[in-house]
Amino acid sequence: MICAPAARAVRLGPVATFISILGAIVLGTGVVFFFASNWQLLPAWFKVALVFVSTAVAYAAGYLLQFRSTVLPRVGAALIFLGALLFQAGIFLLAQIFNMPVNSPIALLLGAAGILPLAYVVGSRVVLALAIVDALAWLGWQLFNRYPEPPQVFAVPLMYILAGIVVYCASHWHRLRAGANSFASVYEMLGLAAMLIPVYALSYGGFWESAQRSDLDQLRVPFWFPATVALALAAAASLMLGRRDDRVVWAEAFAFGAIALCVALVAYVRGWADGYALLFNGVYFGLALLACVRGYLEGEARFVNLGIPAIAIGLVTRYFDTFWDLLPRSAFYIIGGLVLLAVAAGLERLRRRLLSNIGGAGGGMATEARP
Amino acid sequence: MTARLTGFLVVVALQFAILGSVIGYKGYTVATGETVLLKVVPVDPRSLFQGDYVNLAFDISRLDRTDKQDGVPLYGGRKVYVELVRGDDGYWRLVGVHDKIEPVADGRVLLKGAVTSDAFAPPGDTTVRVEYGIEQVYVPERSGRAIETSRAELGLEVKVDRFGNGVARRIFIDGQPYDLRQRP
Repeated sequence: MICAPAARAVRLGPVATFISILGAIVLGTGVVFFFASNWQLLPAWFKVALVFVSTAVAYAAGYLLQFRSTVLPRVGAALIFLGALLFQAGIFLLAQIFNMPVNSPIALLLGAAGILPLAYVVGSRVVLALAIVDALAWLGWQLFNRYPEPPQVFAVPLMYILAGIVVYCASHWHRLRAGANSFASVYEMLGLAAMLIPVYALSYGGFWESAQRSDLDQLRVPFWFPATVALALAAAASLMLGRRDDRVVWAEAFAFGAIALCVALVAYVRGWADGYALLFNGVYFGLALLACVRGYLEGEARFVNLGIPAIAIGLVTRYFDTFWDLLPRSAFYIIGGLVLLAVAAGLERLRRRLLSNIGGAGGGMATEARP
Repeated sequence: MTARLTGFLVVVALQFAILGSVIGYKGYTVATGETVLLKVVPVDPRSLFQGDYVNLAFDISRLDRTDKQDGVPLYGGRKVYVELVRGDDGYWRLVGVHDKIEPVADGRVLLKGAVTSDAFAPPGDTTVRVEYGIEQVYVPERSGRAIETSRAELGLEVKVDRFGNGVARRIFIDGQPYDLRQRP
């Protein structure tokens, strides 16, 4: 039995982690603003030295506190996260010092390349999340740079969906290895978000009308696109590795494979563009529902906490989309307000019921103390 | 030394190598590149996050979309190499556009650029915008606006290496290098 002070200490663990990470972000932002506002006062060599020294100090202090001290390991982990932030900011700052364009996506790719191995060495999920976000941001930025004009630019959300599938499935590869199991949740949440956000954008009818106006028929699919679809399909199939008797895994593998094929369909069959908004509405709500089901059956609250709000956002969006032009303004707002309240109440009750069945609203990532 | 500490030091060394490569990449261009002076028009200064900078545009920042360079029409995202030659006034001007790096006559250089989006260009506009990675020059805080509104003739000194990479070096105002440590 845990006595009261011990229980309080256990509950305070995640809070300390959160505050430490917040402190690291605020401190990193302050350092960047210090550079921004004082850069003309500092000689170039000093600015370069400052980038290297501040990063090294954050890493050294973080390592000592996390791994060589038993007193402040969470602060140490946050300082290592700060070091990773300073490294990423340092790439941009060095680019600025030497008059390189800072609006270049390569800085994010370099950042991801440096931060990803760090996450595995120190076992930090928040550092891993930073590396994945860096990589996903690089992908989007690079694609926008490469295909800035319609209709090619419409391929960017399609690529994000495929990338999301691969990132999500990477979680399973980590589950297969006992030592890397704690990273799986990061890949799952970011992969799911990388899928849901572009699918949400593609669920708008206006998006496809715009695509049609921009000569969607002229869309030239890049030569590497089929390989990316094949990679996403292979990633979806890899979910079956070691878990062939798990129905949820079957459902996920089938769903992600189907989504990858939907993406390929859009890329190569443009004549059906009128129906694609409907298709992606189905994909969006299907994904959100799948997340809820996975969360409920596997006892992982984070999936429910992501899936339910996604369903709510989707319902509200479709209400605005459908009834904005059909109803008088007063009726639109009155009915809309009532519908929103009813949807919110229903979904919140559903979420609580699912979480109580799972065994506690604080499940999943929220209860895990490690940063 | 533990395996974790060894791994940690290796990763930190990798990160420092990446930071060093950012410096080295442009250092190579500065050390080996040809010096080119481009006539510029500054626009849109100041970035909240990065202190002050002037965003520069050049004569070569717009190319005709209807022209086919080496047989390939220009479209967003395409890489181009503009061929420059020094004019009588000291500024370098465009004499050709290529889709790949190739040998040019003595006294000429190739500068690498990329065609950017013109999705919001006015109807009938037959030009495309090209960026060369030398458009942003950082200047002392609160001096960007002064440079932007200056009626003086502005130039930008650029180093261009044999691969076509350009690095912005100095702003020239009325033919004189502008000291970045001074406010105009």
